[in-house]
Amino acid sequence: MRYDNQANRIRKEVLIRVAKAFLSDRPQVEIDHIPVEMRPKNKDASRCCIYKDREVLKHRTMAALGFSVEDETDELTPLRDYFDAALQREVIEDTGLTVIDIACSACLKGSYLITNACRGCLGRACQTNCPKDAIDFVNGRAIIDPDRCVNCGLCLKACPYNAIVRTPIPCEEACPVKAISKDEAGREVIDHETCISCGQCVVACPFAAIQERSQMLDVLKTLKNHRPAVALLAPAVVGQFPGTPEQIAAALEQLGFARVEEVSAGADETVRREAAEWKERIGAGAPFMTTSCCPAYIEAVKKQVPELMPFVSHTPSPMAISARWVKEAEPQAVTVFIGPCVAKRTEALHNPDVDYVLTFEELGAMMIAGKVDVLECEPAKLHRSGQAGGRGFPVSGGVTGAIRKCLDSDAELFKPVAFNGLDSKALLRLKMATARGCGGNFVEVMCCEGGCLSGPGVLCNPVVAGRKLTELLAAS
Amino acid sequence: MNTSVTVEICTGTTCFVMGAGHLLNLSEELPARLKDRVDLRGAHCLGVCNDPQNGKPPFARVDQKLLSDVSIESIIAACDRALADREGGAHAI
Ligand code: FES
Repeated sequence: MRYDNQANRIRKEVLIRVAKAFLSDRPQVEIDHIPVEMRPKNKDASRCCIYKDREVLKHRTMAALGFSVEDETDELTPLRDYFDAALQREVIEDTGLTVIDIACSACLKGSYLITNACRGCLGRACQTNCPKDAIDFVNGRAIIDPDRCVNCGLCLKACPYNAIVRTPIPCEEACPVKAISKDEAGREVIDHETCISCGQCVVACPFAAIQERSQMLDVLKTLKNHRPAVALLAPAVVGQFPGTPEQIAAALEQLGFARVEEVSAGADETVRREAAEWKERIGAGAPFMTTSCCPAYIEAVKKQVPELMPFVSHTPSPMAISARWVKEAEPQAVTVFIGPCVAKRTEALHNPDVDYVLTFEELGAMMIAGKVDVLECEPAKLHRSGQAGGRGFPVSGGVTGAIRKCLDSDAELFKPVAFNGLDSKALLRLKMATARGCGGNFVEVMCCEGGCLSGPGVLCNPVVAGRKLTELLAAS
Repeated sequence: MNTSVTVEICTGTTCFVMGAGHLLNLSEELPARLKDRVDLRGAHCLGVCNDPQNGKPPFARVDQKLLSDVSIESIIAACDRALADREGGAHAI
């Protein structure tokens, strides 16, 4: 349910409709109609009424066209104008996540709430146990004064009636760096100076109020104009679509890509270079080195723990290596990285070799709109494929395992530590590691728990995808 | 008496992208009462995704009955109904 729920399906439906509109004969008309078609008259509304739903859908469509909701200066600007503006866009200038403020339901601020199961009992264990004197009794019922409450949760544990519940704010709890918080109106706002683009809030919000700004239209336009586009498929593609990898390659070619390269080949090169770099650094007396492949982690280092920067490997990420190879051979090619990751968009923004980034969701939407069924495709060739090492990258521990294999005789010196998922505690431990070390000399950090197979843009249950990856590695 | 239900989850591209990929561990999510009573199969495009009249993807078929916008829970409920139908006939409402 974390990834697949109605909120997520609506977001995907909007992407599909945008792609269909682009491919149709009268895209402007189709685009304008998306909110109305998704919430027609006389049908049920998800919110108070279809009119509010439509307004939210308009903003979702804007995000699917690559805009941020904050870009809306005139509320009467029709979607077709955004569509036309998106077609004019030459380069991606900003990738920040956007909050659809009217979709944000302004979840309750206080984390603890006393429900009407409260009996106003004589014992009043909640009040007795509250260290901040934040519980009063009004009309025979306990209430929490939000100004005094420090969210310690002792009252919840004390209540013999289980009358106290914790009401979390899902996006705020999911954010590892506290980059999202409420404004005066109670709506969530992202502080882009702090945000590491990990996309955890996108997955967590039950109202799908936080959206990525899609680059799908830019890619569709590139393909339509017959510019030579090279798809760089992330190693996490395993299990994300039906059919074999060769059929997925064929599907991409049907969509208009000139060819498909597996980023696992770039990952193999990352392993070689990172292993060499590790030997050199540890040989020179460094206490440890951390991985560089997870872009959300890198953003977290830059913005939250800059003192960790000297310990981060300088080896380029698999995406960066793969894109460089393409641009070296074919400078005019357009490179499109396709993966499960939201933060890769930020990495690509700073890397001129990567032109666009799509998630598997967006690619899926393009396939549906383009009427391409992977299972019906005749297999095509995958260019540049990786070995077991590079293919194992998308799970926690994968990078470590690949490096260990590469070290041969130095393997005994290798003491890996893995951070499987990034949260505020992990960040604190990493911060402390700069002064006191962390019990190992090779630190692998993956922002998404489980690794990239659990990224925000995946289409396959991570457990199932993990099993498929194990099978693939056994066969590699 | 045949006591197992056939569940076909569509893994055509449309259904897969719209959520079927997240339903593929259904066999592990089945409650004990349904274990060994569900015959789970993947299926190529069931051919119903092109017409909105059929509802929304992902689609599945439980004993030939088409379900739209499916989730693990809705498939489990449909299996229970199908089994109850077979066993009790009339009282299965
Ligand atoms: S893809 Fe499922 S019915 Fe067509």
